[in-house]
Amino acid sequence: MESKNSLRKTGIDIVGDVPWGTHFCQFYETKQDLLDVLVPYFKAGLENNELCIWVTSEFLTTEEAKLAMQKSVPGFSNYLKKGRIEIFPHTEWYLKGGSFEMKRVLNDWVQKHDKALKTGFNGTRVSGNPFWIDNKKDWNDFASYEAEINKVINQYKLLVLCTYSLIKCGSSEIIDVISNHEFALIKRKGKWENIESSAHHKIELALRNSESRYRSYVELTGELAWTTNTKGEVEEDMPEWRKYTGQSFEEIKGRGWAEALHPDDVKRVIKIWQKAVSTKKPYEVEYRIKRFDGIYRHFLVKGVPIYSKEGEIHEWVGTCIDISKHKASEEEIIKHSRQLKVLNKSLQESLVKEKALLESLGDGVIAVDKKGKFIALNKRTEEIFGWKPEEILGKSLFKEFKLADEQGKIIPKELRPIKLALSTAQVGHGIYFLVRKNVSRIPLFVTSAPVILNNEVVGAINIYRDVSQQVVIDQAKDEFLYFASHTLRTPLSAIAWSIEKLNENNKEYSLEQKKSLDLIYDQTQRMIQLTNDLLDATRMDLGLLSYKYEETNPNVIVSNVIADLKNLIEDKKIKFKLMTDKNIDSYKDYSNALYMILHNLLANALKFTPVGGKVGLNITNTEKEITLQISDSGVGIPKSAQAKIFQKMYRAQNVKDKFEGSGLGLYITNGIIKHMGGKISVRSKPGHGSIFTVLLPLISKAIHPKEKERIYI
Amino acid sequence: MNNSKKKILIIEDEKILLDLLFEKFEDSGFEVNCAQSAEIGIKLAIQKHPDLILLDVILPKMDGLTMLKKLRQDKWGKEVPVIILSNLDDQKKVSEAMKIGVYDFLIKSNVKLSDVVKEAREVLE
Repeated sequence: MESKNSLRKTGIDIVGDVPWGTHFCQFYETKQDLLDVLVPYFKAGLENNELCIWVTSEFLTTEEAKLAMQKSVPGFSNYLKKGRIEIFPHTEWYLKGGSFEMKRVLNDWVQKHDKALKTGFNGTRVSGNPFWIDNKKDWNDFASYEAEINKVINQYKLLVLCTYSLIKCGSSEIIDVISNHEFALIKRKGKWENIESSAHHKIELALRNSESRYRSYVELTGELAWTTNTKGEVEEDMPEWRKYTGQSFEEIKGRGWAEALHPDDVKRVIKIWQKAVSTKKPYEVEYRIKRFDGIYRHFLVKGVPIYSKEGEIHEWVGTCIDISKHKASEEEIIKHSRQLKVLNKSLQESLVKEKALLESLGDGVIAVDKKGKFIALNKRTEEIFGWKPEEILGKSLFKEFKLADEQGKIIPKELRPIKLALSTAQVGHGIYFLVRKNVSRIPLFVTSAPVILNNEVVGAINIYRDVSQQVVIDQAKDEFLYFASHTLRTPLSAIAWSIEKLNENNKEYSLEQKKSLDLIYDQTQRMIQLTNDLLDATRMDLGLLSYKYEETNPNVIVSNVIADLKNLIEDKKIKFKLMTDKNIDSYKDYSNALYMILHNLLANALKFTPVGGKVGLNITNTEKEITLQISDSGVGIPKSAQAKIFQKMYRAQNVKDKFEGSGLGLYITNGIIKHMGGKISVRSKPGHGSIFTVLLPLISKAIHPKEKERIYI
Repeated sequence: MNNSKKKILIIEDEKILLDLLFEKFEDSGFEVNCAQSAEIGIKLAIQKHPDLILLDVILPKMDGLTMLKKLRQDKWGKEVPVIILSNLDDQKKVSEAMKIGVYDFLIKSNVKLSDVVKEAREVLE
């Protein structure tokens, strides 16, 4: 398009530069008149890389033309040899088949033009001469031919200069000629003049404007404009189509354009086309057109018939609109709706499953919306609250029941777990008492969790566990612990302290009396120890022993334990040997339970080792764990008993009668070690002694200290 | 021993234990005051300003730790050393007492009378 508009040098002074598609003429009287115009015309053409075609006449023959060119154009024979200029006598051009046939001649021009572009010329410039015409019919045919040239010349990179002999033209012929050309050159008083056909010029301008506007519009919309004859054959060029498909004009001509259609669409398109032709009605059809890169895109193609004055269809025009995007979104929608169907089905399935799951739960479950209104509840909820779903759905949870604390004080709405879940999106839980008319106080463990959709709280799920049973059990446990620790120990303390007082105040007891006092004191201490073991074991069983991971130095604990057992070591004259890793004090994050473990194991070792025996404590560590090794030269543990010593209340046969004990010490020790994620093992040879090895993780990640969920009333 | 007698306040509701403690501390050279309830105990404490308080946890109305909290709000009571002497060794109670601020938490059945006196002297030195 761009080059089409760029101006070409005509070489004719009076004309100057003209755009491609200029169709003008010259009137001549003498050979010199012809040469005056044509020689510079073709010279300029040759110099500007245009294919030059000169059709001569009897008035100025081919030979004369060549001679004139040779005189004025340097290197002309070379141009001629290379085919850059072709000079034909009219007999080989207009009258090639014996007579003048407009279509053939026009087609020949187009072929020359296309070939020129393909072989690297910028365009084609031609000159013709109808000197051979000698009757009215031929004249009329030739005038139609000229008019036809005007219609199509804008599509081509073509300059056409027609030369008319003034001698042969009458006045009506002259008018014909002038109106069929953009302008005419005529020699008056020895000077060339340019006569413009004003009407022609105006029409031409308007046409060009409208044409260029139309072309711009088409280019903007990306539509492909087309024109075909009544048989659907392309005769006129379709630049947008060629640009899109990459086909050449040669390729689209006739039915060639259909080659770009998707093979699957061709049959359907032909059917619709044939129907349109037979009904003479506008049509619409969708088909795929192959782009230059081989990709098919969807087009909506519309066509309308154009009627001639006689009421006959003489051509079809239309556009192809690229609808691939619409097509893609249409397919997307279909795909989505299919996916939705599948999703819907699986949703329904999971709903059924969830419902079954909810119904089977032993806890009451209530779902509420963001305002706290009932959406759903399960069977267990109905049992706890005594509701029927149809009575309660849609009502506000806050109005239907209240919760109270241990003292019976009503929990304000703002502090209820569900409010927490709905307003702060946090999980709230706690023990509360259900307050309802005519219903006894029921302790409930309430959990409220927010339901979050797209970062917004849309409701909450509430779980209600009736903990009446648990409350009773926990109460009993607490009472037992209170009894064992306080009630049981108080008289024991009184006895122990009283004997202590007796021993201090009166030193004149007989040996017998002294022996009895010692016995009472020892048995009281034994009773106290049993009570302590019982308490520890019970607390451990209930998960109430607290293992706080505090910043503790294991070395400090070890020395505390040894200090507490110092009397015993000295009393029995035990040779005690302690070996600890130097780096061990750098470890922190260790548990207080280490005290209980070391105390229990060392006390055992001292107890079962005879006077003058050996007890050792060896502590080593790696990055991950600490190893405690407690060795003694005591009675040892029979092989059959080794697996059982960590069981509750188990006492090995060889110590049962000779040593005091509850059978709880190792049970507690083992329990604590397991709780901390550690291990305990024993090696022993009866009569020679035992070695207990304890591995404890230094990083508390193994098992975090966690007290059992307890409910205090 | 110092020339002036050290004053100790014992708050214990079990009469037998209280008597044993009273005698032991008097024999050991302390000036001893006794209370069998927290209510009387805190009154005596504010009045007499003892050098040390021995405090039981389980008491008839107000319990020992509640009394301790109240005592710590008093200008003088804020600083006075307290040893808990109880048979209730519930871990929660122990840590609660440690938080409020006590010198030690002793289990009656696990200590001798002489140990208690020894610890009292340790505090007062």
